[in-house]
Amino acid sequence: MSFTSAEFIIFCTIVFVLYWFVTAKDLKAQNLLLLFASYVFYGMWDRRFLFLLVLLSFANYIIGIEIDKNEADRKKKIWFIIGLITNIGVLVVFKYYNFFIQSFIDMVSLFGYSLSGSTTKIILPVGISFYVFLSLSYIIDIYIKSLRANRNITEVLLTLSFFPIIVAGPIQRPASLLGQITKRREFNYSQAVDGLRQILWGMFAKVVIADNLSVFVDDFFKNCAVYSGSTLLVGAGFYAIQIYADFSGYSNMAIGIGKLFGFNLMQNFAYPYFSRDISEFWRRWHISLTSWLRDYVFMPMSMAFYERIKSEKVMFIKSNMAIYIMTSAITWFLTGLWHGANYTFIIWGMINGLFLIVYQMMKSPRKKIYKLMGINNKNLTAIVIETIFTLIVITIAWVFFRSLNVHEAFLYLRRIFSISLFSIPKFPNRVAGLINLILASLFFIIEWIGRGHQHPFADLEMKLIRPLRWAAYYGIVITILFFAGKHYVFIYSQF
Amino acid sequence: MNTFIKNLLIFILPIIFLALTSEVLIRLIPNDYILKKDYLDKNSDKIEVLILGSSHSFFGLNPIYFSNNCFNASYVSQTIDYDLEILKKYDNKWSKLKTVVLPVSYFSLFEKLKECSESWRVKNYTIYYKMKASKSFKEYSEVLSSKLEIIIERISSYYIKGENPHSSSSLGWGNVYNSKNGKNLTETGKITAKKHTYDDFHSYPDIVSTLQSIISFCNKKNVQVILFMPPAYETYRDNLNRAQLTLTIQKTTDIANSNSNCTFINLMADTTFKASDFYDADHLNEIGARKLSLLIDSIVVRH
Repeated sequence: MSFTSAEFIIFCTIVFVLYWFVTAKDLKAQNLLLLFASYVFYGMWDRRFLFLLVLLSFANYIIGIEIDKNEADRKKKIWFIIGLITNIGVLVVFKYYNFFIQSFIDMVSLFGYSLSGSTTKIILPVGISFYVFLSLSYIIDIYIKSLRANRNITEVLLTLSFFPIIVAGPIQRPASLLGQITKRREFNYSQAVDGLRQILWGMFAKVVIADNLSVFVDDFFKNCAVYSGSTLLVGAGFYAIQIYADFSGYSNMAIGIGKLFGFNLMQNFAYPYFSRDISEFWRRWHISLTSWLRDYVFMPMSMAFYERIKSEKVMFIKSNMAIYIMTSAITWFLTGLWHGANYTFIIWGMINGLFLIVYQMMKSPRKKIYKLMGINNKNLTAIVIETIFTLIVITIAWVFFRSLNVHEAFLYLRRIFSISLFSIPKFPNRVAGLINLILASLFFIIEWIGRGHQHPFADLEMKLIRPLRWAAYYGIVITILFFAGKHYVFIYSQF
Repeated sequence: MNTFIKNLLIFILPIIFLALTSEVLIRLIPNDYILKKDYLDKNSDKIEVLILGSSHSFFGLNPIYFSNNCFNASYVSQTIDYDLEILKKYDNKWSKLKTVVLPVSYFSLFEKLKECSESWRVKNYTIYYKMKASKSFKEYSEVLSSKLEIIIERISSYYIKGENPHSSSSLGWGNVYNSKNGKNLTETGKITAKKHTYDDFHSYPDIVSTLQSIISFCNKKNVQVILFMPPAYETYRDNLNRAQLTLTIQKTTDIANSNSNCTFINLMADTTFKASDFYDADHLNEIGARKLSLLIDSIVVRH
C-alpha cells in the first residue's frame, strides 16, 4: 500500500477520522489505534513479515527494560550485546546472507579453489533497514543512558513501527518520537494544513517528476551500450533528479502524514542539490541516516581511535586526519552496505567517502589559494563552479548506485567518457523528454524559492492570498493527475 | 478541527464531483471490451471456434474467414492468464466449442498484463468483464487507473467529436490496422523487438503453467487447442533475443507434443507473408489478416 495509492488515501482517512473523533480524548486509545493501523499498513505491504516486525519490536521492548533495570555493568552489557546481535542478526540474515556467502565463494575462487556453497532465496522484508536502525538506536540510547526504557508496551511497539516511517524512514530518534507518543496530542490546524501541503509537494515530486523520469532512466541504463555519451550523461542527471524526487517525495509525504496526526518528524532532506560542497551535500541528504551513522558509528569510532592513538602522526599523516580517514572509510563502507547487498552500493559509498576525505584534505589549501587569488568565499562565480562540480561528482557516484552490477556501471561510465560525449543527446521520445526537463526545472525553481523552509510550500500562507494559494493547489493536483504515469515503487522502500 | 474539515471538503468536493462525473461518462462510452463481453454473454453456447490472445490475434484473425461459427475474444496486450479467465468465466456455456486458437508470440511466455507497461488495461477486465482479477482498488475505476490526459481525450472524442470508440468488428476482429496507414517496418521492427525482449524470465514458470491449464481445461471439454507463433516481418525477427525465442518455441513444441488435444505451428518466418501484409513489423493488416485467417481455418477444419 503505497502512499500514492487510492487504498492509502482511504486507509489514512479512516485512521484520521477514528484518531481525532473517536479516540481523541484518550491517549492510550489513540496509541493503540495507531499501533493497529501501523500493523495493518505494514501487513498490506507484506503480511509475511508482519510477524518479524512484531517479534523484533517486542524483543527490543524486553531488551530495553533489561538494560535499563540492570545497574551492574556485566549484566547490562550482556543484554546490550543480545540486543545488538538480535537486531544486526535479523538484518544480516534477511539482507546480507546470500551476499556474504557468494562473496566468500568468489573470494576463495580467486585463489584457485572451488567451493560449493548454497545460497537460498531469501525475500527482503519491506523497510527492514529502517526499522532495524530505529530499534538499534533505541537499545543504544538506553545503554548510554540518554533514554530510559519505557515500560508501556504499546508506546514502545508504536515507536518502533509507526506507519508513516516504517517503510522508508525518516529514521527517527526514539527519544524524540517516544517523547511525542507519550504525550497527549492536540489537533493543530496550522500543523495539519502544513502537513497536507507537504504531502501534496511530496506527491508531485514522486508522481510527476520521479515516476516519469524513471521511464527514461530505465531505458538508458538497460541499453547503455547503444546510447551516446552525451545521452547517457543526461541519463545519469535524470537519475540524480529521479532518486531525489522519489526519496524526498516519500519523506515529505511521511512527515506530512505525521503532522496530520500531531507528530513532528525529523526532516530528511534540506535541498541537497543546492550544496556547495560534498560535505554540505551529506549534511542535507537523507539527514536521518547520515546523522544516525554520525552519532552511532562515526563519533564513537573517532573517540575510540583518539583514545588509542597518542602519536602526532600515523604513516606520515597528522593523526587527526588519519583518524578522520579511517573512520570515514568505515562509515562510508557501512553506508553503502546499508543500502543493499551489492558491490555497486559499496563502491558508491566508498566514492562518497573518498570525495569527503579529499574535501577535508583540500579545505585549508583551498582557503589559501582563494586568499592568494583574492577571491572572497561568497564570490558568486566560485559558488556556482563549486556547486556544479559537486553535482557532477554526486551524479557520477549515482551511476554505481543505479547500476545492477559493477560491470554495468563501468560500461555506463566508459560510454559517457567516450568521444560521443560531444554529440547531441538523443532521446527515445523527444517530446516526453522535453516535457520532463521542463517539469524538473519547474520543480527545482520551486525548491529554490522555498529552500529556507522544511518544504517549499511551508510559507505559502505568507506569500499568497487564499484564492491564489488554492489555485496553486489545484494546479498541482491537476498536474499530478495529468502527468501521473506508470506507478513505480518508492526506491528506498526496497532497502 | 471543524474549520480544517470544512476547508478540506470545500477543496476536495469539486475534485470528487469531477472524478465521479468523468467515471460515469467514460463508463457510458461503448468499447471493445463491452462488445466482446456482450457477445460472449449472448453467444458463447453457439461459438465453435474461439480466438484468444493478444494484438497478434486481435488484428491477425478475422472470424468472417472461418468456416465454423467463430468469435475473436482476443485483445491488445491480453495475456495468457486473462485468456484462461475468459474461458473460465463461461465455463458451462461452451457447449459447441470445438477449437480454441491461441497465439504464442515471442513474448507470450514472459509477460503478464499486471506486470507490463500496459498494466493500466487490467481495469477493463475488472470493470467490463466483471472479473475479480485485481486486489488493487484503482483497477476497479476508469478515473483512478488512467491519466487525466487520456480521460479528457476519451470524453472529448466521443461526446464532442462524435468519433466511433470501437476498434473491432462485431465478431471481435481488430479492424483499425489498415494497409493504407501502415507504419515503417524497419523502425517498428527494432523498437518492438526490444520492447518484447525480457531480461528476466521470472514469470515464465507461472505462464507455462497457465498455458497448460488452458489446454487441460479444453481437454476436459474435448476442445482442440491450436497454438501458433504469428508471422512477423524480418526487421522484427532479426532483432529478437535468440535465447528467449528458442525457449518459447521449444517449450510450446513440448507442450503440444505432450497434450493430445494440442497442435503448434510456427508461422513466424512463413514466406506466405510479404511486407505488404504487415501494418507494422509484428502486426498484420487486413490483407495479412485474411491470409492468416484462411490458413488457421484450414488447420481448424483438418482437426
